[in-house]
Amino acid sequence: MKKIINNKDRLVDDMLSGYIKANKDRVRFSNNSNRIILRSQPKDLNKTAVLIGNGSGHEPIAMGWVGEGLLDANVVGDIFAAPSGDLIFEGIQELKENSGCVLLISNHAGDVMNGEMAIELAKEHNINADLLLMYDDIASAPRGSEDQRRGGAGTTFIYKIIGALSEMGEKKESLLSLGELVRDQTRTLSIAVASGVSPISGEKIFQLDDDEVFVGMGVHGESGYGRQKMSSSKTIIKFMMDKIFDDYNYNEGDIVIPFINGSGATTLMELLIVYNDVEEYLAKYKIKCFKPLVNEYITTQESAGFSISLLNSNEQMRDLWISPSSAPYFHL
Amino acid sequence: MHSAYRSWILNSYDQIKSESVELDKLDQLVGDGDHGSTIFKGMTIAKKSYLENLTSPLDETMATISKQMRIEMGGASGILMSIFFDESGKIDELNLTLSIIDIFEKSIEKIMKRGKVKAGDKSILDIYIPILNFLQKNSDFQFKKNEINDILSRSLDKTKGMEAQVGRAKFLEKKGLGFIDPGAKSTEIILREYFAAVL
Repeated sequence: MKKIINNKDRLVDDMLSGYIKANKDRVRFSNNSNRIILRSQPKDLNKTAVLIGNGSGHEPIAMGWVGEGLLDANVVGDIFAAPSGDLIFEGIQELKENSGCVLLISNHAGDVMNGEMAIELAKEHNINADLLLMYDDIASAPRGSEDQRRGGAGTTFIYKIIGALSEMGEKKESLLSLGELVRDQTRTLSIAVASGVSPISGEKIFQLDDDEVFVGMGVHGESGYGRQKMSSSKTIIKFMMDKIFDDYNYNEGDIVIPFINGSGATTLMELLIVYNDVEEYLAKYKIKCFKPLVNEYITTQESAGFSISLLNSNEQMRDLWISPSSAPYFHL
Repeated sequence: MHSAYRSWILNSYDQIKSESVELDKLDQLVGDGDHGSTIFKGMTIAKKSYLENLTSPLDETMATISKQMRIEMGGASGILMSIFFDESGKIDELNLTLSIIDIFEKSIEKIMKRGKVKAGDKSILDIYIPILNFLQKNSDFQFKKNEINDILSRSLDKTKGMEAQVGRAKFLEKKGLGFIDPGAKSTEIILREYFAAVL
């Protein structure tokens, strides 16, 4: 394994320490835990707070999205492991004076179990908190079983849009209801080109031959539509977009927000070529694109590959999507 | 009972330590390759926490250990595997057999509820449930330790033939078919040491 670290047992803590030092104008640790990242300047208490608990190893998400217009807190677990329900609850307690609290959880087994436990603890302590389960990855469960799908890069739309809505003073219930609508109108499909290496085991996370790609593979190497021979961007994009279009009914005139996310070792050159082909595909169906996000945000170490996420948007979603954010690693 | 539990925790720590690399390798086939490291981290904190809480009542000691393991391990493993440690504190020397059966019943109930998992899903439950069934059929506890060990080995082996319905392995190409479940393997190690210490 070739990674620039000091001690394997301390790598998450060392990373977080560096992150806080590099961005101390905007974020800080909570007083009780160096695994809870908070805004340096908290939002007004009459606004609803939004936080997420997630495993690390996928940076810059989600710590990089703590900031005005986005998240209030991020509770950080070990590499690829959800933080405990106890720790997520501590994160919620940091925000208990706010008028309400929404805990975002990406649909992965450990995240859900620990998130549910944290919400149970919050309710026992009379804290006004609820969980919003996020899922979007069409390769992980068929149409009709959407709530069985994994959370993928398309969850980004929920983070940003309800984060922005919370700044407008909307109550928890409005955030949850818009978050569910965004979730229901989002579709994501990913493709793996080469595996990254787990900093814990020192081994590749999954195996792919040099001339192979894997459509639908999840961020931890989970299976999807299967292996294929490497081909051109246009051919790959047509295959992926056809799958997305089979899954969701788009209409002429729809305005989608595209997100092309690199999984850690995909060049910006490649991501922009991908975006070019995605927009061309959409244009054939007379579907317009609105302010896309193209970069590496939800990564799995040095894995190569990308995902396409599309949010079929309305005007409110679009306004909230482009509203300002001070989060250190969210740049539209 | 403190001395039996001391043996259980310390011996489990030693066994997990010696098998953690193998557990990581097993997890590379069906997960992200770190189950051995994770459970070793859990048992390290369990050992430390136990030795720091030797003088507390056993149920309090085990509740503390369970919480520490949950926090230290995180993920699905932490929250599910710590359940048995918490329940195990309710052992009653005056009513040993029934209390052990009760510990298994409660642990299984909580694991099913928290993990939304059932028998045959290729999980740690596929070790707990056959043990509970055996204990219920032999509630006079007039059996040899070897019989328990045989059940543990056979139950673990059966997970090879199961397709995962939960966790990351559920999303793999072959759902982990043909491979032992890593969580079931570490559970088997810990329960083997449990019965060696308390019976």
